[in-house]
Amino acid sequence: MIGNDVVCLATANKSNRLLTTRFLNKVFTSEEQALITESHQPNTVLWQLWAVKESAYKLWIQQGNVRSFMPKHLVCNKRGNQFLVTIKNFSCWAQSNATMNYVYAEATLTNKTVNSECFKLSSLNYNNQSKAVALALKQQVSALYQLNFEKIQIKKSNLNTPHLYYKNQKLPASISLSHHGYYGAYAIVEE
Amino acid sequence: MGNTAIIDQLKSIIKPYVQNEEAFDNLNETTDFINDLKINSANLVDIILDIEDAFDIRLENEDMEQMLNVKSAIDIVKAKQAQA
Repeated sequence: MIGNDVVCLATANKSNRLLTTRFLNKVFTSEEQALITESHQPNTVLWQLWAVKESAYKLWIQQGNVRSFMPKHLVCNKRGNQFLVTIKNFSCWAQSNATMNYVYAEATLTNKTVNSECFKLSSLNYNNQSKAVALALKQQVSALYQLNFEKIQIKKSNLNTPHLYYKNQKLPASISLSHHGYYGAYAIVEE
Repeated sequence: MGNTAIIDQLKSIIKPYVQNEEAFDNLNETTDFINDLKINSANLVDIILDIEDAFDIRLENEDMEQMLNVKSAIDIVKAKQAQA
């Protein structure tokens, strides 16, 4: 299982409330707030933590949990280069990286290698962005597993999570797609 | 405050963050902020803060958890206004 999230910094940093107490208290625990405020790049750390929470939340939903908006409950513990994210009695490991333009995170429940890519999108239209990320993922699946591109499908489950199909058969892989502002990203991991 | 007045104010609050104009034009109580209006979840925090300011209420974590669609937003606003 895999969850990912990309945050376009140019878009995300438009909000002028980001480092206010009201905003921070809605989303981050006091330890997480300390990571943000003590950093030389607080906005970037803020969005890294957000992306980590969002990635873990996608995994949480894939477990069959009911949708809910509770970012503060997805508690992030920084352990070296990774984060251990815990919510109720569920936990997962997440990684994140940041460039000048975007922040990216992925959370998994497996040690298997994740195949992922983060890239600039040519359109700001929401539907076009969704299609562009789906296309990029299908092209990668086609290349990775030597499959006919035309027969690869992405279908939403009854939990509204995406799954890979080939000629209408479910493939033994988990996927996650994300897009925000000028950037999109996909992640694939074998089950 | 009646539902229509609350919906009107909610619409003006969420409008800047909507990425599906059609769903916004057809907005009703069942409209989901993320799935239908395609609002980025990061902007939900902005919306929640805007709702607090517009209706002069304070939303706790438990209130935020349900804030996924128009009906829940209306119910929470009305409940908070009744408490004041």
